Amino acid sequence: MNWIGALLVVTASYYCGVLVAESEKKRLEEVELIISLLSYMRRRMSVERMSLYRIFESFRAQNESEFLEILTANSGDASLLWKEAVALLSIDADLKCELLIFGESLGKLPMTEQIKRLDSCTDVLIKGKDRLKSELPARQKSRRTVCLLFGLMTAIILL
Amino acid sequence: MNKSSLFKYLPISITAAMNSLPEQLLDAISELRIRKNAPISITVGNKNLTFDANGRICDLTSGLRIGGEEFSECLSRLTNSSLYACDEYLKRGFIPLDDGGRVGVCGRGSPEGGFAEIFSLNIRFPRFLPDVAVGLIEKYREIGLKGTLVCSPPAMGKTTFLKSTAFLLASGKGISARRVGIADERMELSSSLNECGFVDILTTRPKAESIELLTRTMSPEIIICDEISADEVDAVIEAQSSGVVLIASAHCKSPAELESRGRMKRLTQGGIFPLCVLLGYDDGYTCEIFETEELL
Repeated sequence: MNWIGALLVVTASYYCGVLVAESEKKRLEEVELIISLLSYMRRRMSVERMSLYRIFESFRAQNESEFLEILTANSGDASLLWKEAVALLSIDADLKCELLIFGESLGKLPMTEQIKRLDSCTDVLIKGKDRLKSELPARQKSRRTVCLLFGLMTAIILL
Repeated sequence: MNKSSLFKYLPISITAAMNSLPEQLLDAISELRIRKNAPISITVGNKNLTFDANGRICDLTSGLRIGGEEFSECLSRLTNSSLYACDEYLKRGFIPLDDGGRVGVCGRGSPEGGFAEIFSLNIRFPRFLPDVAVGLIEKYREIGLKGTLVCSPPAMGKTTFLKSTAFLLASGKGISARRVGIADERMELSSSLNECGFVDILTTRPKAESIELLTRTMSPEIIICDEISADEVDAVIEAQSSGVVLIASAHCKSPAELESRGRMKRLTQGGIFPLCVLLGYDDGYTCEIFETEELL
């Protein structure tokens, strides 16, 4: 009976590790979503000169996320909506900070300046994504291992 | 578009004060000028007035002002939070509104054209008085359609007069309905006219280009355009020679004034505009119709 209990504790801990590792992947996915939003914005802004609300709405039609839901709330200033939406993200603080800086001037600049800011933000996010991507397997592995070790320790103590 | 539909673009402090203005005054406002950290003013007839936060007409020093944050909020609403999308219009000094109409802008220009910083906004309240040009329509019924130049100093109702002319001609009120082409570079002329009859509207393109395009592709009987300048003289002469009747407005007190303006002189010669409408303000708007030759 004790052995079965220990096995359950270890399995549960490992499962928690898997979940934590998945949340690491979610951070990468969020960065990827924002990069694709920025690239979509760039096209729609410079070629079609669409307004931000329309850009967000048409992007949301292809991608679902809570971030996009806030951006398409369609009330208030776009830069304020952006700030609110960024606060929901679970990405690294440096990337979040970059997005907040970008958001401060969102929709308030002439085309050339707006595109420059957008490109510079995209560059930072791409670098962040590459870093996250290269670190992801190791981070996921370490999260799973730590949780597994925690489970084993707990099982040993309980036994 | 009515005045209250323009309120959605304004900060709450301005709408609250404007709502407290006497109703008669509110109805007569033709322009609202918002300047960053300076008194906000309204234009009523030929008067510029300032008002305080309680909607009372006051002197300049106690006039309602808005700071940078509220000004930026207003600009953001006017541009739909997408200033970049108005770039091309800003280079020509205005922001077009979604529901028709336009807002004039002024500020620190940027070397690439447009503005590096915007300090003041001039929101023009479009008016649509369908019967204001009835006198001109009666004249047309009497002598037939003729090229007409509407002359007046700024803010005397040239656009309102042209809108009424377009409406009456296109909807056949008092005259048989005609095909009317409107060359509306600054999106002022076409608001409220979209669904009134035989009207083809070309907006936001340079007037000379629009006149040429309308003449070639839409075969209008009449082309109407606002605020004609020296740049459009060739296009006007070209359209006139193709048999299209032109009705245009110009910033001047009379056609004689155009005679002293280089290329504009060609407009008063050659019978392009046999008729002339003089608009003015003398305790109310005035409108007189003349044969152009009488005034030269």
